Amino acid sequence: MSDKRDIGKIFSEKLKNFEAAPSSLSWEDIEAELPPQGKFKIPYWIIASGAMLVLGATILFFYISDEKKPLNPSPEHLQIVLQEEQEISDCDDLVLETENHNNKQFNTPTETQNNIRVTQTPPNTTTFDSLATKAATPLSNNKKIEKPENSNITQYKTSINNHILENTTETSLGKSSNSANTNNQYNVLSTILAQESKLASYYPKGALLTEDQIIPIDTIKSAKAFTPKYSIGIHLAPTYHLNPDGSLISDNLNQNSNTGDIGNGFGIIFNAGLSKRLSSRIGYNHFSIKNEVKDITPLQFPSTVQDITPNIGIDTLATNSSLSQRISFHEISMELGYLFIDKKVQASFIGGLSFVIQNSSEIKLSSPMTNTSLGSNDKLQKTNFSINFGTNFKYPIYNKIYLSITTLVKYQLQDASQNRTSYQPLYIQLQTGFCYQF
Amino acid sequence: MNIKKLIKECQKNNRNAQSELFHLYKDVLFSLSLKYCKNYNEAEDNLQDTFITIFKKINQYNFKGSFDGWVKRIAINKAIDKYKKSSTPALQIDENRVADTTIEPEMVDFRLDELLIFIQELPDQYRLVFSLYELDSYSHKEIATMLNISEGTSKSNLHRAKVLLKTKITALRNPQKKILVRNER
Repeated sequence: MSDKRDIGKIFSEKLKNFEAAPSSLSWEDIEAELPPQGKFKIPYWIIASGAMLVLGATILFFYISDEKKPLNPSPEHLQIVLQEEQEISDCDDLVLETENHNNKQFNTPTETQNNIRVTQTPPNTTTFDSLATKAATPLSNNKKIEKPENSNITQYKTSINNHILENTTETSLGKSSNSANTNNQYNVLSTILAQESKLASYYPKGALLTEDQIIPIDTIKSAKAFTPKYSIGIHLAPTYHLNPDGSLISDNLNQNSNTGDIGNGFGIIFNAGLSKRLSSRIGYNHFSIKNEVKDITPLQFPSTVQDITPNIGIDTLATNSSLSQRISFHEISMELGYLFIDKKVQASFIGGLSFVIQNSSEIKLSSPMTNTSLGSNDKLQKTNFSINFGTNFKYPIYNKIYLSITTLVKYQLQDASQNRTSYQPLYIQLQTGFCYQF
Repeated sequence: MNIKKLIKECQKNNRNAQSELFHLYKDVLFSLSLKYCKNYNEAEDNLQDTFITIFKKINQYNFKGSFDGWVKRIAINKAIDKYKKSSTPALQIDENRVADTTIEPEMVDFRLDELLIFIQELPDQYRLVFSLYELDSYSHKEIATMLNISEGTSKSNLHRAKVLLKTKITALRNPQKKILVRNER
């Protein structure tokens, strides 16, 4: 009889090359349980590009619609005419007045339109002559317009129903015909404006303007006087992680309660003005998102640990515990801003895209008995993109230094983890800091 | 099609690739399941669950480790999950009478399917620990983590599994010997 050997080793050797085939299980049985084919997932970079395109188009739309107000000449529109051939530089004042249509000095399409035209009253006055059905308006409605000191450029200012009309022209353009019955014989304001502002090019010669289509003075000024502005700022960026269903840690935990937390962050931002209202922002942020999965049972724990990283040295859980996860990111953000309030407080809509690179991840086990680090979560995606939307407020503090507060909602475009029940992180970031404008 | 390409096609939910992968691994994984399950039918159920999980999670495979190891691990985890859901009371043996787990090799001169039946007839926890440790070379530390037990329990379960196997084999070879076996319950 040979020497005795461990029975386990004998079984191991004999069954080493054991192989058997299932008799009743077929591929069709498996296939019937699989999710249907053809579920095409749109790549995240396409979603990102699309989002950026929509965002850019939206901002561009607002930008253009704000500055570009094309007109359709029609009988209902206002005609602004310089009536006198006198040199504009000689004018001291402009007076707005209305007068009865029957008293018109040139033809108008209809007698009932509340139209306005510009006339110049010799020697030093130009009149905005309204072709209304009423008689001349009281003097209190008239607006005096100051004559600029510049001898070559004359500015006319008048306020009509809260609109301010500014006319800038060279002296030579002020000469026009005073033949009352031919519209073409009058210099239209837009023709004059064209010398200084490209905006006026939208007003064809002889254009008829309604009152509400008169260019606000702010717009004209901004078009004339835009100079690029830059700013650079630093900020703190605490980030609150909103948790949808699912788990970034393990598929086993997708039914557990999953709560978000506030992570720290900081960053730097560079802002360049593209126009009076449009600006571009490029920044770097380092921030973290946090979440906590609660009520992990001792039964869930071993397989959960396997999903994170095996061999952590913790065998069992005695009681229900929590796993808290902190993921930190480097972020490069590229955003566009649209200024919608330009007063002492400046407010802008912000939208853009970020490229995020995972910096670190750490999972901690917390229970009444222990508080231990389980190491990093190796199944997290290393890179991701996020789309960002929000609002920026700036308030001048001292000279060129501004307090800057930006709230941004950021949504990552790819699942944060390889887990089947993972999700795309959604978080709110509050960037509070100072910027220097130059 | 090589295995890497096959996996990539499976990740694209390609049915033909999935079918090919199934036929490539079904025997290996079924043999593995037989060592961890109570019987043939349960092993087939385990195999089915394993493949469904493989195809659902194959996107998580990042080509860093062995694919064979990855699919085997899924099959073993499925068997363990089943055990956890239906925890049955373990058998206890009078260890004083059969503490020695060595045996003459010629005593274990059985067909492979008979050996497999010896394993399948072990109590669930003993079977899992024995298969993990002896047949698939997991450490007691790993087994403890996987089964949510202590390392000491794992070692004890392994010893008892071996004792039970020796008892059964000895009983078959020497029918006159009686071994006291009682249910813990």
